[in-house]
Amino acid sequence: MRFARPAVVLPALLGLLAVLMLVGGRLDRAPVDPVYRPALVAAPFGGPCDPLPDGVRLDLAVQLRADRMVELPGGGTVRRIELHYDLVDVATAEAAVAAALTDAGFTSTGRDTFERAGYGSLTARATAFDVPDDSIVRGEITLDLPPASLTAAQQASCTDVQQTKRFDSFDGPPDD
Amino acid sequence: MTERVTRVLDRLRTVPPGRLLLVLVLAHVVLKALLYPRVLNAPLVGDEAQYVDGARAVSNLLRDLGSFHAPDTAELRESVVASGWFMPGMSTLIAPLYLVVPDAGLELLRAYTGVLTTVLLLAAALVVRRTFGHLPAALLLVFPGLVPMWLLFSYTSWGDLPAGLLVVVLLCLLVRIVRGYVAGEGVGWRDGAWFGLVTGATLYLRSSTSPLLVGLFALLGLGAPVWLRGGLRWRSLGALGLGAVIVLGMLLPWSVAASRSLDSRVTTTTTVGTALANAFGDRGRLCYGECDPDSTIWFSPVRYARETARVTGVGEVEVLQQMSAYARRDVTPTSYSADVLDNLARYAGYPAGYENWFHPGTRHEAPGATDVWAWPIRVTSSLLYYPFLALMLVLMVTALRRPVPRQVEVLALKLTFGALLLQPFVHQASTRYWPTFAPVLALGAVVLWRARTAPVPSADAADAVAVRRLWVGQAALAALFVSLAVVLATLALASAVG
Repeated sequence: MRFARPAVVLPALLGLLAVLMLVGGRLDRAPVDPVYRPALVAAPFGGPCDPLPDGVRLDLAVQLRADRMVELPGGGTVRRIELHYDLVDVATAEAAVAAALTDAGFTSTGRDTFERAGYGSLTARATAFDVPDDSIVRGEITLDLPPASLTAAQQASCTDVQQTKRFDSFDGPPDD
Repeated sequence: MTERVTRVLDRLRTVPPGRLLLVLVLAHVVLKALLYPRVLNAPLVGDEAQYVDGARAVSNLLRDLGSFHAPDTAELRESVVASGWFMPGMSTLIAPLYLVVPDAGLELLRAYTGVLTTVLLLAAALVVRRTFGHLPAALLLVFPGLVPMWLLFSYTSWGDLPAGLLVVVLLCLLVRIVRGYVAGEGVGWRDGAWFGLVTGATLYLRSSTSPLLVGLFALLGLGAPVWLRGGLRWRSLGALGLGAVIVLGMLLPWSVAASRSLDSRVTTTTTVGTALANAFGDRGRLCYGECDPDSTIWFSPVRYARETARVTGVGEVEVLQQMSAYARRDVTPTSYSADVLDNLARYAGYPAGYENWFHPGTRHEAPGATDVWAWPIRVTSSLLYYPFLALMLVLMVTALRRPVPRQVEVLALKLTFGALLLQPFVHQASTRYWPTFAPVLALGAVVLWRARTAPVPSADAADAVAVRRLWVGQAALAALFVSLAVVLATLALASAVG
């Protein structure tokens, strides 16, 4: 029983390919455009578009998720920053946030409020997600900052939403 | 009904085989050429962009090797592996075009894939002819060879359609090997190698065929000890082992490249987690909340995973898997069943669902716009498609007591279609996936006919035990198929009511 003649077909195909490779080797490269692997935009932390108060350096693995103005139920507007933290439990995350704030000159004024002269007051809360113990992503840090912390300069020059996460809507990608 | 079909077949048999096939090939080529203007400048749709970009990068790899330069590994990582979603079978098939014409435009690309898929169809028809005769080959040239939608898809760069043609080739190879078993012949080294080669190629074109491919190998592996004895048995298992080694050898370069590039363990594809979550889970939890709104349900989760991988040092694929599990926490049997039915409908219910992507020049301005040819294309495609789907469903629920080789054919088709139906159970389905199983439907009709018209073996035949066991196997698969359908429908109904 024989399906085909691989002894003829395969060498013929490979020979053709070799010829094409030698011919193609003398031609220009085909221009690639890796649209399915877009470059990852740098996180804003530590740069001119950092949403955190000047001098605050979190010693935590975090992803910025949202930066938006939120009307509080009791009245007033805050600039809410949402971060996801990884690999540590909620107490560690809370402690790291408090340490970063006090290192940057903030003083604790309540259970989750901090204040610095010239900046104003902010609240910082950490909430654990309901995830397994070995989860990489563990929970969320919410910072309510003064609206004025988003400076005119930042608004003008920090326009890459992939970096700033200042999206117009937070409803997720459209269904396809 | 049977008599009428027999009469038609008898009349067709009076036509010289060569002339019949030639006429059908010409009809295929003419119809395909007439449809070319509809696609010649249709922009790449969705994943086509990745396959074509991958093709350019593979062509540059071949170019570098041909001019004795070191390959550009960064380019291969970004354009071929990308996020590890697609094995580069289609990219490799298209690469020769860009190797010779580096800046080939859309028209040339569409023409190239058009010629390529016609060559594949003819090759598959030849293999069907050698396995089942010229009338089954003629049927393949009609369905899917004359289905307008299938012809439109045959100009595109997705791997679904060529993978379907290779599945038909694999089925023919399998049937011939099993015929050999029944006649007391083993599997030759060459046959084993050939089976492995086609299996590997199918996997590269459409990695969702992997359950099917494993199943076909298992069927052959189980068949050898059942039918063969002594040295022949071991030699056959050795030949099949060689085939398996060839498949693994073909898979290895991809797995290694993708795993290294993504710093994660990748075997075939990385999409399963996100696909499961998008199809069955809560998309609003996939990024532990909503994903970024400025991209798609496929790209945004990967961006989140990459951002997490960047700060934690964990591989992005592991992050994607945990995200998927979190999004699927509230999946229930009823919600899952309802989503599977939804998927199944999209998978197999709308053969013309993609028609509006192939309107010359109108896609971006007015997606869904129709011209005078749109409805003829939709209607003829559907009229040809649904009867073949119906025949396959008949095949799935029947069990025929027939000579052993015919029963093996029925079993192989049941398993093949069943395995191809698994896709909507694990993945968001699209109306562009059916070309993977379309040529299998043609083979299903052939096998059903051959089994129905075969004589029922007498109860005291020498192989009565084998006849009976295979029949039990058929009946069991039919029962499994029916009960799965009933359970799914019941649970989905419960979800709709509740």
